[in-house]
Amino acid sequence: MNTVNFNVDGQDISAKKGMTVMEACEEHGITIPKLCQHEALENVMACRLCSVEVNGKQILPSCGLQVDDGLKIQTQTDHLKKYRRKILELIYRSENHYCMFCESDGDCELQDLMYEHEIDRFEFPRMYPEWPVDSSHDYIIKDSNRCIRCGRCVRACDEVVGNHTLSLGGRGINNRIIVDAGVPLGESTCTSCGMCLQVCPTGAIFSKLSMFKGVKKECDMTTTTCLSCSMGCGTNVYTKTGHIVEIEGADIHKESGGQLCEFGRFKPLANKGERIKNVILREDGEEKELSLSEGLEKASEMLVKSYRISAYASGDLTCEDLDAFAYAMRAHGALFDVVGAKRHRFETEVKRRINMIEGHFVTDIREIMKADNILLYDTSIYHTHPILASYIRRATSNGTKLITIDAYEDKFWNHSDKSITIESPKTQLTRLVNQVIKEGKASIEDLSRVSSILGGLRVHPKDVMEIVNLLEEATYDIIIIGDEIIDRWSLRHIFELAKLEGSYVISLNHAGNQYIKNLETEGVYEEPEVAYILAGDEEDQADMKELIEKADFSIVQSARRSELTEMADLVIPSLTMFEREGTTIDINGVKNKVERITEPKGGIRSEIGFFEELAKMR
Amino acid sequence: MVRKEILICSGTGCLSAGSEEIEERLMDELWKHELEDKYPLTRAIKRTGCMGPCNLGPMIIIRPEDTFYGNLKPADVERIVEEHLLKGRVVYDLLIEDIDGRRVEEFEKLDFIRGQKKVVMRDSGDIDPSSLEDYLKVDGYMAARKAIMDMERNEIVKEIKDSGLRGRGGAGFPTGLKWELAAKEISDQKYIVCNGDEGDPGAFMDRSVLEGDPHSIIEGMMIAGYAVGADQGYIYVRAEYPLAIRNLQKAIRDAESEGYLGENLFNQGFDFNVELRVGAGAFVCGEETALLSSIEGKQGRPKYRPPYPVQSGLWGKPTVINNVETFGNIAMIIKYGSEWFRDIGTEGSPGTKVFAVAGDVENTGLIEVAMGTTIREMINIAGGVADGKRFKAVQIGGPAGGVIPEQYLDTPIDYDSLKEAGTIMGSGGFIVLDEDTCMVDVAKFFLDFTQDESCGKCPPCRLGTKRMLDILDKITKGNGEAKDLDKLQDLAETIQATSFCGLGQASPNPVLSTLKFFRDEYETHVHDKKCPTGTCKALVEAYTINEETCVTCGRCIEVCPVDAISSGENTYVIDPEKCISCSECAKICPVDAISEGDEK
Ligand SMILES: Cc1cc2nc3c(=O)[nH]c(=O)nc-3n(C[C@H](O)[C@H](O)[C@H](O)COP(=O)(O)O)c2cc1C
Ligand code: SF4
Ligand code: SF4
Ligand code: SF4
Ligand code: FES
Repeated sequence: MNTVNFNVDGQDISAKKGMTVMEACEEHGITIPKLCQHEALENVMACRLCSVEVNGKQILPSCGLQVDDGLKIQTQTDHLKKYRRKILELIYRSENHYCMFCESDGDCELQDLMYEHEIDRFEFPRMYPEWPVDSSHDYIIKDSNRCIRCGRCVRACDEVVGNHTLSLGGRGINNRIIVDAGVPLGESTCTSCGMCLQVCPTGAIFSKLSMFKGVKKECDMTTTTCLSCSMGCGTNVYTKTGHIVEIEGADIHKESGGQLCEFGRFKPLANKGERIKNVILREDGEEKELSLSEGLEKASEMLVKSYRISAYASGDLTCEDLDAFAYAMRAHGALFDVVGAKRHRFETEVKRRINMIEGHFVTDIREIMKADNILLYDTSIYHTHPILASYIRRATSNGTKLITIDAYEDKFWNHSDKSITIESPKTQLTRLVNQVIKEGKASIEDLSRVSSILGGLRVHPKDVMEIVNLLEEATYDIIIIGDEIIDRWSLRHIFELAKLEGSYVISLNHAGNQYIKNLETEGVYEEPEVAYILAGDEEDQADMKELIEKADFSIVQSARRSELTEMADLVIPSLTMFEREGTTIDINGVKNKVERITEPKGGIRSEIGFFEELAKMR
Repeated sequence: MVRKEILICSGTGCLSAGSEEIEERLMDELWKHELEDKYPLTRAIKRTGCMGPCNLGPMIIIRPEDTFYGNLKPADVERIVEEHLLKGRVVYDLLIEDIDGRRVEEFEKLDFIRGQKKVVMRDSGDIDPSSLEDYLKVDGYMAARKAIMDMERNEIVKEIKDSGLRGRGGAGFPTGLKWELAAKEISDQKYIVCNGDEGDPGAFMDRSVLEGDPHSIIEGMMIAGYAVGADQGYIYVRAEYPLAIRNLQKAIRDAESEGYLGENLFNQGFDFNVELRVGAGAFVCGEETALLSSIEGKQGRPKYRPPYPVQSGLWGKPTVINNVETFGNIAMIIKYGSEWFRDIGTEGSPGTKVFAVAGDVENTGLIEVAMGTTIREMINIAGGVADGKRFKAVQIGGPAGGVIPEQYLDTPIDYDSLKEAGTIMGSGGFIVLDEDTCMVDVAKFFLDFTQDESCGKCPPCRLGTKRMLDILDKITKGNGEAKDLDKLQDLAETIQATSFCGLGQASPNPVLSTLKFFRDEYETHVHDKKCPTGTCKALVEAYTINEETCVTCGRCIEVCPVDAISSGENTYVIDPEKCISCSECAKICPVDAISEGDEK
């Protein structure tokens, strides 16, 4: 039998075996006060508020107690109420809680419980702790004077992010959150994912970017999908009178645990670039403002009279935007490309040549956490794909072996079992590994001989052997290819290795929307007459800049002013990530909805409409 | 001719009392008198573990006659060598005076020793703990040999179960049952862990066993390993015990090289290894789940049970964790049988218990007694209350325990009787308090310890104990209010009911038990703003000098740290504004002319 029957406050309840009493109660609408428990995190039973009476004698925390047949639980005895009030008062009066000065006023689980328990007078004097407030971080403020030591932030950093930046240290009332070995947050190993502040029940860790913007409870909340990369994380965006107050991760129940990265949580709010309201035309050293329809005219004029047109789109757009842009550009005979598509084309070509089937690709990246081994080419994904990086870290905490190969420093240095730094990480090392696997077991001596014959191969035979052994031992290994590996040869050797060993592959594109796989792209003229660029909210626009430098005339469509728009001849307003709507395809190939969060505030209402017009004007 | 042996106690107490200097002087003297033939220098002087009566250190025993010399000063050594060793005459005035004033020659005849029953401390003070050879001479590893060669695994478990041995780490859980549970678990790997964290303030029982007889612990663990099917043991010792660590390291190394640890022990195909783990020394790390986490290299914080360590302990594998003293009993039970063990002690608590006796008694130190010995008898073994003062209470069980007042002096010491009397056995703290002790101050001392040692996880423990301490502090400073005693009671109840681990749950005990037995003393502090024993300085009134008795010797002026005393006409006068009631003057006055408060 998988269900158990027990009794809560006189009510018979059945629940699935393995559930905690708290979970079962919540399922039946019985709420028990709590501060440390969080659905995305392990239960540590720290705050003791959820204590219930078990079988008329023991008092135990319901967040840790498993359901069992015949249990008799009381959740609201006079004793329990007294204990809870006492604990709440102890917490409230021992830390500096002055709600009216607190950023979390109104969004605080402690405050809610104080109201709920009608605590309006106090038995204990204040203690006035004086921990220094840490505001060294770009986005996060940590104020230990309001911290209730529930440890949610520590567990989030540990279990969800796999980063272990935060810990609890110090005994008794000196117990507090410690960052690394006691450094300020801004100088720590923090990856700025903000998971800690998302789970913090109080105002002890909060976002600088959301300060003074409003109470979340009074906001509208929309669930949408982040467009910043191909992970396609779900986000809950809180808005008040048309302004974004805060962004939180939405997928609490998925394995991501509701994680977001810096690009999803903070960057969109930190972007202070000036919005583009009108079309800007730079001609003969002068800057002119035009209306949108004049801009449309000018763009079509340039497109119609030119032969070599390069159209280049950001990857951080919806499928629909990309479609509309591609359609308009092709109507004008342009060559069309999207950031990251080049890598995809190489990959397709290589796969066809070596006859590699789709089955080799991981279809759900959470599989990373189940792998025996991970072989990671290019560790910069630590910064470019932070969520994926967190899965790798979490996997290594659970015993997965990690080998990293990078041309520079290993960004996973404190997680990898073996890190190989080799200037040309791709071809040679992998070629040799492949050869060894094909020829069967080789000795170190053999390898030394081979590598000296091959000449210029600065690979240590031991490294080769280690990779070979690791791959041969494992039953489930995953090869992850970062976005810096872009040349055909490297891709080919890595794919060959995967094929030889039956390893699974995750190949990471720089760009976001995986829809680009469906778009026929062909690569663009390097020195076009006209370059037309549709930018997204990305920070790194280097290849876009490179393209317009070589163009006779350049058109940039963008939501905000940037170095890129300053270089363009014609600037057309565009939408921000939160003004777009449509769909996006994530790394697992799943189509997610993108909701419009705020009404367009720039000089354009519908980009798709604009491109439809442009397509007609040839 | 019988070869003589000089045992010199090198337990931690004696080392700090200067035993090393005594040892050097002994060597010098032997050398000077060219005695090295009769007393080969490397063998005649044997450093032993703790002998027990720590306040008599430095101390030596000369064998075979068993003469005991204590409280030695370096200058005494010359006489001992010249008189005792050369001429064979006992140096009478260097013998220790026993309670009745008689000088006692033989160690075993000391009252302090006669009342004891040594099982766990059998070898400590008797053998050189750094010598495997010495251990083998006292039948060392014979019990392990018997267990592994002649006994079935379940026979061993049964023997331990039958012995009725209960865990000496505090909770008194039946050891045999724990082993049985672990033996039943099916797993590719099991572990044995020895808990040597010993965090109670003033406790040093485990330390002395580890220092004085390390092999006996290894042997106990090995037998446990064989019985439950574990091949790896860990001994967790706190870093503050460097001598224990050194002796254990040596013992493990020696046992390994002599084949008492390692593979295929006694040719029976049984492997057993022991590793030492040194802990950071937080009190809560002594709690078993916290200790296991700490061995795993994680933060030493208590974890939720179930699962219990016997099901899922170190790295998720079945683990038997026992206290040092618990393991210290094992070899003896295997050697002499459970019946023998049951004959010692009481029905519900067979065997002995080692106590670290401290406080206001004549002789402090380690005392091992059979369970069932009464508290009164214990105090007598320790020579009675010091300085002829009146007994007030005894604190048993350390920070988790409570006080026992005079009316319970005849309570037998066993798990159940102590519980009934309102305290716990604990790990063996035994602090005798005389009439001058303030009970509020005692409660404050223990609470200060626990609030400081709380790991900080649970608000009731982290903050509640701090609040209780603040209230006690307020009371001892003369600012107590009537409702404070209720507040204490209330907080105590919440902390007991809602804390996660034993540290928090038991932390209010010292306050509750002093409140229970000495409530009037609390009330005097609160209502009359007085500390009856004069301990709480803020509550003591200024001292005054009785004009009639004062002989104007002027000694009080010299000792007063705040210059509150000046000379008057026929007497001296204390300025009540300046007086801080330190009582220094009253102590020095040769005619007892100075007393607290207005003159009587
Ligand atoms: C706060 C706390 C501190 C403890 N400290 C010790 C200790 O220092 N030594 C010890 O042996 N047991 C200690 N214990 C008890 C252990 O948790 C455990 O019960 C014991 O090691 C089991 O061994 P035993 O059955 O042989 O007593 C402590 C328990 C608590 C709750
Ligand atoms: S953290 Fe919560 S309870 Fe504390 S001051 Fe802020 S709003 Fe109030
Ligand atoms: S900072 Fe917040 S989440 Fe972290 S322990 Fe303190 S209250 Fe809990
Ligand atoms: S009761 Fe105290 S020591 Fe034990 S887990 Fe809770 S806070 Fe830590
Ligand atoms: S919610 Fe259960 S102990 Fe905090």
